[in-house]
Amino acid sequence: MPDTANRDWGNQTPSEELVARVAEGDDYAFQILVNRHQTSVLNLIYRFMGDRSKSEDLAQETFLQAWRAAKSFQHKSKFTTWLYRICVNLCLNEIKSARRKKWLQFFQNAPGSRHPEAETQLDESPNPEDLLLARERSQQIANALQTLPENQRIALILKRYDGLSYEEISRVLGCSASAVESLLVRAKRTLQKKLEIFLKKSAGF
Amino acid sequence: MKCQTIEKKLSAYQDGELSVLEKEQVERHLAGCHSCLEQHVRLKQTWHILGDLTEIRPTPGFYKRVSHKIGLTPEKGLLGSCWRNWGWGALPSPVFASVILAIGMLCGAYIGNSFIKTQPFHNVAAYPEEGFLSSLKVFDPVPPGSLADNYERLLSYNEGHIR
Repeated sequence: MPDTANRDWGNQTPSEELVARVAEGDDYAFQILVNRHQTSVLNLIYRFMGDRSKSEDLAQETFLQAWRAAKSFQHKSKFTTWLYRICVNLCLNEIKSARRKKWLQFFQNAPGSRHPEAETQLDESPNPEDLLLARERSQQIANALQTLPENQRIALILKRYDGLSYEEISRVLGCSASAVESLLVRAKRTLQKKLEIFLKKSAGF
Repeated sequence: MKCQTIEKKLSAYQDGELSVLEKEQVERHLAGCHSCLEQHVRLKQTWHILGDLTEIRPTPGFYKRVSHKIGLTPEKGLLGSCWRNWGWGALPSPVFASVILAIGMLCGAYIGNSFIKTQPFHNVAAYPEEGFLSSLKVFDPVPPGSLADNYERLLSYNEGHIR
């Protein structure tokens, strides 16, 4: 069991240093990494997939793969870029297998599964009407996100919710920074149209 | 710069990804172009609206589940730790279950046999083997102590009585 001094050391240590310790089999360093990044990984998956139940499984799988691949982490990039790349690859694989299943269902003449609707977990609010509106708004945003092509969606999520730079996003997606720029231009244009109803409400255009 | 070029640059401008020169060009254009300025405001609002997507939190015990999958946390309970310490983890569970079942059947037959001996219908001559070996008769077509066996014994007992 680590002592208090070790705990402080762990909490203040950069993730890049922790992952080097994980590569040596340090499970305490791994615990700190999981606790530090679990929410961001979970939300990245949730926003990308739009399915709460799958998100937690995929988030666990992401950390599982990170543990296994810790030795292959090269200290040229940030830990989050590396972790998000694992996460995105898992999500894309999941989407592929879901598509395959859908085709199988189609050929087996089984009733097709509808696109999973995003579940929302809302913060506590005293007014139920506000809660309902917020839930509705969040649902519409989630639905609008789901209409974007996969690479546009992931680029937008990484920029908007994780604050990654174009350079970092390009490393996650394995493309150039200018490609990320055009992905984001197209994604924002599509979302602007999809979320126009909110723009009109808030700006009176 | 033309409006078309500016519109493409607006996204990167808002994300703070333009060079100083490009940034100045965009700002100069926005100062004199109402439609581009309107588009700039709309884009900014869209970006702001996206922030209303609620954040979810991991369920309690997230790390525990991850570490359990990796094998960092031992299984709970005495049996789990014994299982690991004795190196039985390598045994596939169906094999273990089959062994346990077979042992259970043999023990059951052995115990059952010892009870049967006290029964009046028990034909000792038919089953001379004693102890553990006789318990192997559980695999016979008519195992000792079974309903069929008792029925056969009853018949032979009645026949002997009648004669």
